[in-house]
Amino acid sequence: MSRISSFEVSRSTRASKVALVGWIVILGVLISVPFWAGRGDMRFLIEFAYYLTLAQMWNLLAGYAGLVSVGQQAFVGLGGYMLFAASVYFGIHPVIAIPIAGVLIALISIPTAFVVFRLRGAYFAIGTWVVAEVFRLLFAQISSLGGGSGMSIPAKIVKEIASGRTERDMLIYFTALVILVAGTAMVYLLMRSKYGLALTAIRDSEPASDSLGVNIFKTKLTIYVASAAVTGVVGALIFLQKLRISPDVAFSLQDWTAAVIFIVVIGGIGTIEGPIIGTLIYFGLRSLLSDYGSIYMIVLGCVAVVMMLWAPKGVWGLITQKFDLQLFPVNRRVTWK
Amino acid sequence: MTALLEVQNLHKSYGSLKVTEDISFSINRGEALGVIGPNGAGKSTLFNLIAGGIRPDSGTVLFNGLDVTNFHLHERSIKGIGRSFQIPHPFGGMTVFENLLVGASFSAKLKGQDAEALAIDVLDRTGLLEKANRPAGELTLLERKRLELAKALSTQPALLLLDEIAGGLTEHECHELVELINSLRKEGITLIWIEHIVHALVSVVDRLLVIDFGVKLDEGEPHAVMNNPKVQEIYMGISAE
Amino acid sequence: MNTKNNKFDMHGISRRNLMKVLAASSGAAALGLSPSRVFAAKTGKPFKIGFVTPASGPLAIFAEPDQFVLEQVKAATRDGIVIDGTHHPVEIIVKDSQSSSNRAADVAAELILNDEIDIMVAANTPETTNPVADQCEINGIPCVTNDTPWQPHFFGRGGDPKVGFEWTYHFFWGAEDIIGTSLALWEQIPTNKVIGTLWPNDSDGNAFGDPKMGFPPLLKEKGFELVDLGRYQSPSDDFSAYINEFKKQGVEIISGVIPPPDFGTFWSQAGQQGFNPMICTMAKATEFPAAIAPFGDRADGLTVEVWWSPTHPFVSGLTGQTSAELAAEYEAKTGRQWTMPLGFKHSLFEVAIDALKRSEGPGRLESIRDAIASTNYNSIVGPVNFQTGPVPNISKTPLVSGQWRKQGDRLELEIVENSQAPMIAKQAELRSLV
Repeated sequence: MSRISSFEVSRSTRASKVALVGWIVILGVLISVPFWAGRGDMRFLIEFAYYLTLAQMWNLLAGYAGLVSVGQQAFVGLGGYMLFAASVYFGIHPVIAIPIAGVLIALISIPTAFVVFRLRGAYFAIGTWVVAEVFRLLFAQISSLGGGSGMSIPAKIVKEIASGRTERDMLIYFTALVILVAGTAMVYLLMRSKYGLALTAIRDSEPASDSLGVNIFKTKLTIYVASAAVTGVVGALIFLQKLRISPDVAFSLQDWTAAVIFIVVIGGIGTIEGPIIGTLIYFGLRSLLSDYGSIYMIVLGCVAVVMMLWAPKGVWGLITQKFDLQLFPVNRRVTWK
Repeated sequence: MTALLEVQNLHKSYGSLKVTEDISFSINRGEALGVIGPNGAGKSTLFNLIAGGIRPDSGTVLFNGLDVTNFHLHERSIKGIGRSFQIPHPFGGMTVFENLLVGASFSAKLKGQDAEALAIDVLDRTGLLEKANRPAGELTLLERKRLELAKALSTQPALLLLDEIAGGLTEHECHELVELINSLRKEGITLIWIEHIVHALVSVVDRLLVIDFGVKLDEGEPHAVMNNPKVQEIYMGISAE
Repeated sequence: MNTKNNKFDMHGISRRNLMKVLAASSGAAALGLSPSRVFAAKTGKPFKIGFVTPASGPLAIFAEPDQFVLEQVKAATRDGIVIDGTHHPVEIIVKDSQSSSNRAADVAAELILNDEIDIMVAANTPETTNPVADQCEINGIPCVTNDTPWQPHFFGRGGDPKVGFEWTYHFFWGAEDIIGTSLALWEQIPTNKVIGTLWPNDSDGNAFGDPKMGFPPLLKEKGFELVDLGRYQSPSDDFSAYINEFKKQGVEIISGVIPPPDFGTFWSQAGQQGFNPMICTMAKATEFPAAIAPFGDRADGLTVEVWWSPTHPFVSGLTGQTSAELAAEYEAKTGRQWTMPLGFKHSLFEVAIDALKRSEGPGRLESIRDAIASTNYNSIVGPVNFQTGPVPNISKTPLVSGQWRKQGDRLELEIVENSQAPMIAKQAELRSLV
């Protein structure tokens, strides 16, 4: 009994403590970027941030909750359209419209969940895609938002975001950084909390987790809504950058889901580190190959196939196979005093 | 003394196949009931009807005087019905300790250190303390069986349902398990145990329930039930032991 | 086109080496031709032209002449642009939009922010010109675009005719031109005047089908009976409902603005289902010989609006070539038949270089913008002047109609209607398809 009363549960390892310092340094560097880097670098980092956040959200859904969605573009598109509607028709400051879009999309995602949650596995995946297509066709009919032609956000609204171009760039950059950090922190804290426990349990055995008091539906719904909201926030940010929206690009399967699945699968599904590595690889490949046109897409496809056959746990899986490493420690370790 | 669990006229069929036909019984607080019957007799279905994995076509399940017939599995778990699975369902991606935190956090609804303390306590009682940090996927069969029991205990159940937990174990391992279950009984837990290994069962339970083709065949004191010629007739394998 | 290198790549020479070669050759050329200029001329910063084009994806057919045009432009600007005695080499940075407006916005931003271009040019459908122009407008970069009807470009970007745009200029024809030439075309031969339309739910389809600004009101005015089943979602693989309705209503004329793959589907299904209209005028899809050649005899007689052809009576200010000479050189060098984007891609660089010549130099973005705004230039596609357009920032180019005629192995586009632009000669009379 003495051992029982003198245990301790620790979450971090030595590597993770070092990693924490690393993350803080990286965050510090990212915060300093606008003060020394060029506008092109900032735009690149914004794009990196939104792809990484999308990847974290898809990973949360598919990697942690087992909800393999191919319809996340529904929420990217909705986020974009809400930003346009809020700023053009309601005169809301675009940066403020971003979180509003997140809240509204969380609400919209609830009835959506009740439709797609009736389906399982591959049917769920197809169901989410169908939902995204429905939204695409729906927005193609809304003529006040440009219908199938799409619309541009008036230059006047963008110029009024901040007093000057530099200030505007900086504000959007920091918004992107906040979204990235908040999105990643949300996944991390969720996975460290009892929800993380429930999610892993559900992934490993649904009947067993059910019999241990885990409300599977509610847990999955929570994850689905949270990831939809953050995905929507990212969507709003994306189209504030693009300045123009149309149903085909807003609800683009290729841009907002296929690329993101590629990132997560390459990097390592079911880990927080995986999407970070995957995004680095994706951007690396893109800067090397994107000017080769369709060959670029073929190379991406081949890389994905090879990785799935050779290393289904992605690059991060290969790394952890060799080294016992956790940069975002979520596991619990019992030690005795 | 009111019954902890009262099962009234349960019916369940899949198409024309009747798997549970008009089964009623009750169990008092602190009592242990053994359930036997040949393979396919409907024992596991009965279990699922009580634990909440399956809804009956008709009949009611009263737990602590509360009608839980239409409760979900997780709701019944929170109310105090804990169960193990015949085939162990370890959460392979978690450590043994984390496996127990699930029930402690969600079913027993304990927070932070209280949940951790319960998990450690259950690990200690089930002899798994040394394995606390091991991934559950790496356990041996006996350890998996123990984990299965430990997970059920981590929900702090008032009623514990055990489904063929002794299956596949050696005589020695089986003996250890029986001791463990007897010690739980001493702590006042109420138990329903499905088992093929009748001698293990008989050394623990107060009463036996026999079902065959979904129908209750007999119920009563273990030796009396085992001596029932009808039970012996359809349950040759067991009576021979 | 060759997009192996994102920077313009010629004969395998990398861009950086090419720049050295160009700089050296411009010096040498100057030395040989006019010694006085050598001593006067310094080599200054280059003018950087950003060029966004749909080199891959469904719109790639529009980008076919890119490589040829880029080589021509490079040759024509070999000596750079001289401003106040300083030679400024011309550098063109090409980016592929992959036919996606998402990607077009991204590469435009890259050109603006990373490559720090002095002027942006882009062409081919609203999917390219609109996002590119939007990025330029917000980032204050002079921009010239073409090959998108002006309404989807101007109004599609939320343009206000009273205000216009500050940085972005566009030249092409508009809905009124295609309506004018099409109506005149369809009245050339006797039909029952029942017209079926295929307008997709996209920028072009919505502009052409617009109940106030598009075809419908003028069709009615001219006594045509319109069979319009509404905007269809493109891409579509089944047009049976349309074909059945067209047959039922006795449609004899078919019109629309649809992407080549949709037209392929529609025209095959129409053939299979025995629907044979007298006139078929499809914008976009039938502009390209390569897109309609697979139909063999059923391509013979298709009609289309013509924005540029070898018979257009204009001369390039860049190379001094006539339209016919430009087309001939293209066919000789590439072995491919001329297409309309050839003239427009050429003109895009003509207008951009003309503006750069009148500017105060690289990096002087306001002066480049003002130079574009005051453009009064005779290009290979006709005069370009942004002061005389229907709305600010727009200059209109002439539009006629043509009919594809099978001549030997190839399909030739002959001008059969020129009421909107009489300076372009008519070559033949319209023939019925049946």
